[in-house]
Amino acid sequence: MTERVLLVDWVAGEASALLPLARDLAGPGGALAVLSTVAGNPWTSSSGIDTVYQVAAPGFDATRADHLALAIAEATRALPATLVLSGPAKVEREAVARAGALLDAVAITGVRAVRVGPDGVELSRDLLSGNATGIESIASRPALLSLSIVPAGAGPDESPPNATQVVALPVELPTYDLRRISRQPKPVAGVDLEAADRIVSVGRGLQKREDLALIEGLARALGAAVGCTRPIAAESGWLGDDHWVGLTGHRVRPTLYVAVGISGAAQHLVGMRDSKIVVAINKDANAPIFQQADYQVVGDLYAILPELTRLLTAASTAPS
Amino acid sequence: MSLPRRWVVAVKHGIDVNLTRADPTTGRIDLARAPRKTSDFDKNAVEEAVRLREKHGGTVTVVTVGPATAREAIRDALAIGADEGVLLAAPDGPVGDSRAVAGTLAAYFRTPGGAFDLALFGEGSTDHFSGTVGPRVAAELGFPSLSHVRQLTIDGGHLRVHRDIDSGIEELESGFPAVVTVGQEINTPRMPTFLSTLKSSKKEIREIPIDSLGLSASKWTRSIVIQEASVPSVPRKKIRVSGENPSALSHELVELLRREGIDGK
Ligand SMILES: Cc1cc2nc3c(=O)[nH]c(=O)nc-3n(C[C@H](O)[C@H](O)[C@H](O)COP(=O)(O)OP(=O)(O)OC[C@H]3O[C@@H](n4cnc5c(N)ncnc54)[C@H](O)[C@@H]3O)c2cc1C
Ligand SMILES: Nc1ncnc2c1ncn2[C@@H]1O[C@H](COP(=O)(O)O)[C@@H](O)[C@H]1O
Repeated sequence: MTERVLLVDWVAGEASALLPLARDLAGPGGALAVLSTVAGNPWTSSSGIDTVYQVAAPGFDATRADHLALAIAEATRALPATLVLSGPAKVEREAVARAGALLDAVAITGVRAVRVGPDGVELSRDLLSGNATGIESIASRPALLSLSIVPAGAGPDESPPNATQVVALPVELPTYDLRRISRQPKPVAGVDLEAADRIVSVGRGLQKREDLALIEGLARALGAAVGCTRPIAAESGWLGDDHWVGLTGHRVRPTLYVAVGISGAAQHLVGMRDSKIVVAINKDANAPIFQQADYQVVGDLYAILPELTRLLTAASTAPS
Repeated sequence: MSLPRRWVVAVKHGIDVNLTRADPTTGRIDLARAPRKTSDFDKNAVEEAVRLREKHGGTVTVVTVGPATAREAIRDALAIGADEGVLLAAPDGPVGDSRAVAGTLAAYFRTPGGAFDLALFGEGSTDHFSGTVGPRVAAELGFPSLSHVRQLTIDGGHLRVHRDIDSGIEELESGFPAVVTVGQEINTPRMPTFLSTLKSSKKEIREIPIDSLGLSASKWTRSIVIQEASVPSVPRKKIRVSGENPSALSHELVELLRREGIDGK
């Protein structure tokens, strides 16, 4: 079974993490191409890639889902692709959906794993707000997929260098009236939760915004990024959406996930389930989060965090 | 430019995820028999449309693709304050197949009675959460889609929204017709009262068989099959950290983490 795979490189270089999966799906004798949306693409010297479609359209704006969708549809037709893979960003999800309509093809988001079997493309994704995992199969092609989680640890590149062909891709942009007036970054921007190896995450167990210092202190002691539940980002606005873990936020898979004052709703669990080691700190011994934890600490976060932070800091600064 | 007056909301009668139980021995969930309810964010979409009508006039129409039981989602929307309902009747149709559902909705919106100025969708359905139906409908019709909207106003014949993207908040402006998708942050849907429920029971629900929409059969043939749904389980050690007081707990946890190769940094 061979596939003709198109990788969407929305942020320059982002798709390199999807490359091993794409190579695998293409199989020997398949085709592998990259859609590059920004000038100066880093792909020409990558091995195993047959074609780079370089968007060539004045006024093209890759941060607009409708523009990106038109480029995906054009490149899919040009290859022609049987499988299209993109990352998890909101713009990518929307673009994949719109491109699906333009191509009358299946478009699925939130994909955790994908393989090609005898009955077609088989994928695993979250269902029922995270209460279930589903196996879905798609018989028709092309199929457009937005992965919710980028496969970890890109394998070594063993394919021999080959000549990559760069093809300019003209895109006809829409004429309807849609304009961006402004764009404001979130309060605390710049965390990349998907890439974090350790995360200390906080929920409504925290009583006030100032107490975030406790969470940040523990995160610093562990060299961890700060995550949170939806209410902390979307209701209280104490942290920006970059920090938000879950069904409607980010799917993370760190080595260590420390859940502090988080009850463990299905919509949150779905975002952190792939963590290697989970520590839960909660004063309610029956909190559902404990069923998803390796280490269950029953207690008041206000009493535990200062001590825990002090110990971890002391351990790292003590002479060995 | 004439003022926008036709507001439509797409609502889904989806699976009630909180009432769904897996078979205790297999861990499998029987989706076909799962209890159903109106998808969460769709109520936010209805509420927003009703507020637009209260402010700018016009009519709020709710539309759903599904079997006769999906009328219940329309009733919920009418009780919040929508004016009329349309059931795109798919007795054993491809509900849950986003491509087919979006194709069906787009076909209806192309009929003379289905035209709209603004269509509102949930940013994802509670059970399937693909988030694709709204943008797909927009693309099929050649309209802009404004997704993950947190604030919506109409000003001088233009639509203005604040919407959530991964790296920040964007303010966008567009003309009509347009499609938006919303999440729970945009508003709090009003609770239907006894009176509004009574009144809504008299409102009309039109039923349109989907095969009268002039769609080719392939358009609403299911292309995605859910082979299996099961309760996810990741094995966890579930070790209760013992310790009488915060200090003992912390010592114990630090020691346990150290054995996992995790130290302070
Ligand atoms: C469609 C949909 C999508 C959603 N998407 C997401 C999502 O992406 N991410 C997400 O997180 N949620 C999401 N939610 C919300 C989710 O259902 C829960 O409401 C939310 O995760 C609860 O957040 P929480 O654990 O912070 O708060 P709570 O559920 O209120 O839990 C607070 C916890 O803190 C504990 N606690 C209180 N005080 C202390 C203390 N002093 N010390 C220690 N522990 C303490 C309590 O025992 C409790 O367990 C979504 C909901 C819907 C309907
Ligand atoms: N069967 C349906 N009938 C009407 N609207 C639907 C249907 N399925 C999905 N939608 C709409 O599309 C949104 C997104 O659904 P989804 O793409 O499944 O996440 C929902 O919140 C609804 O507004």
